[in-house]
Parts: sequence; C-alpha cells; structure tokens
Amino acid sequence: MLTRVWVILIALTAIEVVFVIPHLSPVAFLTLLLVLSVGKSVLILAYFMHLKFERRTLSLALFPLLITFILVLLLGVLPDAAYGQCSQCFRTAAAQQEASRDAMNSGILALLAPVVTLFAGFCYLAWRRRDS
Amino acid sequence: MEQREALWHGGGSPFAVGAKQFGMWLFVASDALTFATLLIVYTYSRLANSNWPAPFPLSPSILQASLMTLALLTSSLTMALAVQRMKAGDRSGTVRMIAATMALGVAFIAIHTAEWMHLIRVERVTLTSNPWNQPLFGATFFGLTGLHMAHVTGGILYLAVIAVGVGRDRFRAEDVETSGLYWHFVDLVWMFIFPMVYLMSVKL
Repeated sequence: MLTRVWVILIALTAIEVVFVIPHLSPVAFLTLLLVLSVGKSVLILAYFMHLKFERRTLSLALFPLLITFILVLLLGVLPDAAYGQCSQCFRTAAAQQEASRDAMNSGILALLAPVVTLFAGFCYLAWRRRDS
Repeated sequence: MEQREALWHGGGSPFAVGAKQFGMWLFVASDALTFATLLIVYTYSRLANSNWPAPFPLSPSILQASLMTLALLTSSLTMALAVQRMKAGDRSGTVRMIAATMALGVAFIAIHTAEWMHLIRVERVTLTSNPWNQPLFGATFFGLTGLHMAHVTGGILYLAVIAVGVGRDRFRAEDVETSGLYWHFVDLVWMFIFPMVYLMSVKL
C-alpha cells in the first residue's frame, strides 16, 4: 500500500515536470500545478500521515480553519496579481465611468462571497453540532 | 447533555490519538499557515511582476530539484516503513529505516546547498539585489527555501535523537509516529515549493 502511494506521488511529480514544456500561461500553469500538488498532499496526509485511519474528529479539528485562513490569504491577494500591473489597473479603474466603477465594486463583493459563505457554513455546522 | 455523556465519558481523548501526536498535529497546522503565507508572498510577487526572473534551466536546476523531490518522497516512504516496523516490535529494523530517512534528508540538503551556492556565487543573487533587477526574488526565494531547509535540518536532528533512543530500547511506537508526522509534513511542504518556485520559473 505505502509503496503504491509512493509510486503515484512520483508519477504526479513527473506530470508536473513534463507540463513545463508546453509553455502555458502563468495563471493556467499555476492552476494545474496547484491541483496536482493538493492531490499529492491529500495522499501524503491520508496514507503516510495515517489520517485516513484516524477518527474523523481529528481532521475536522485541524483542517476547516486552516483551509479558511489560506483561502482568505489567497482571495485577498491573487486576483489582483493574476491580472497584473496593479498600479496601472488602479489608475484605469479610477478613470472609469461611474457605471463601470459600480460594476467593479460589485465584482469585488462577488469575490468576497465565497469566503463569507465558507465561514458562515463552518459556523453553522459548529452550531448545529454543538451538542453532539 | 445526557447524550454527550453517553458518547464520551471523559476518559481518553476524543480524537483517539495520543497527546504527543495531537500536539504534533497542532504544530503542523500552525506551521502550515507560516509556509502558506510565504508561498503566497512568493507567488504574488511572481505573478505581479511581469519580468520576474526565470533562473532555473531544465539542466541542471530542474533536474536537481526533481532529484531533491525524489529524495524527500522516498524518505517519506522509508519513514512510514519505520513506523510500521516499530509497531511490529522490530526495533533494529526501525533504526535502519530511520537511518535511511536521515540519509535521504542529508542528500536533499547537499543538493539544495549546491544549488544555493550556484545562485549566490555564479548568478550573484543576494537577499537585496540580483542581476535581473528584481530585488524581491532573492528575499522571497531564500526566505522560503531557507525556512524549509531549516525544517529539514531540524528534522534530521529530531530523527537522530529518536533513532538513538529506539536503539537503546527507549521510546514507544507513538514517539516514532510523532516524529514521522513532522517528517511527512516537511515533505508535504516541498510538494508546494517545488512546483510554485522552481517549475513556475523555468528558463526554456
């Protein structure tokens, strides 16, 4: 079992390295790499770190908060960077008509929605299970 | 209230792992946030600067980094095998497997140091300056990989203490498993550093 997981991990790493060659755009390549890396981490956590065979309360105590914090960090920072040239974008935004400025503001609110939903979801789950 | 008492009588741990392992899990979770912050800082700088340097040619840099990844993945396998041996009561087998894990860790550090030295001596990258005029590169690269290398070094020392103790009939399976959690975590972090730092900045 452990050896099989090790072989899969190496195969996933090889896929990551091979995808250097087609020269994808940075954002597309990063997305691909992140998906594969998260998959590898899940394998390491489940089998090497034995989490799959522990009681689920352990995972529930550790990961929801950790993932929420990382998502908050990511959502705060990456959309801005991925579309590049922050200062230029800022100046363009400031020079927009009122209508498109409003559109941009609602876009920012839309990006906030997943974070708030996740956070509210965790709060709700915790509240519902307060006695179990 | 009654139901809660029926489920858990206050004895043992609700997580069904020992206190040492649970402590290590908490440390791992908080350390994961530290690394996540550094990775996000690096990736932010990488994506926000369109002329971010790409100092890693396929050979030798990416080849070396792939070898380092292979070393760490294999060391995770030997560490998991060490935990298995310890649970089976085979102490000398455990020591051998931990020794193999440590050797692979040393190999990782050796290749990594060679690569750092190349960047510092040949490419002239420092914390505050580099030939590509992108000072953030040195600070974020050395900060992130340096913190990881410090973790690997600490892990090798930790494993040495455990191996010597196991050889002298001290420590139980739980202690080996706790050190294994730490080691696997260091491996897991590298699974993010390798693609996000090296593969994202390949010189083709």
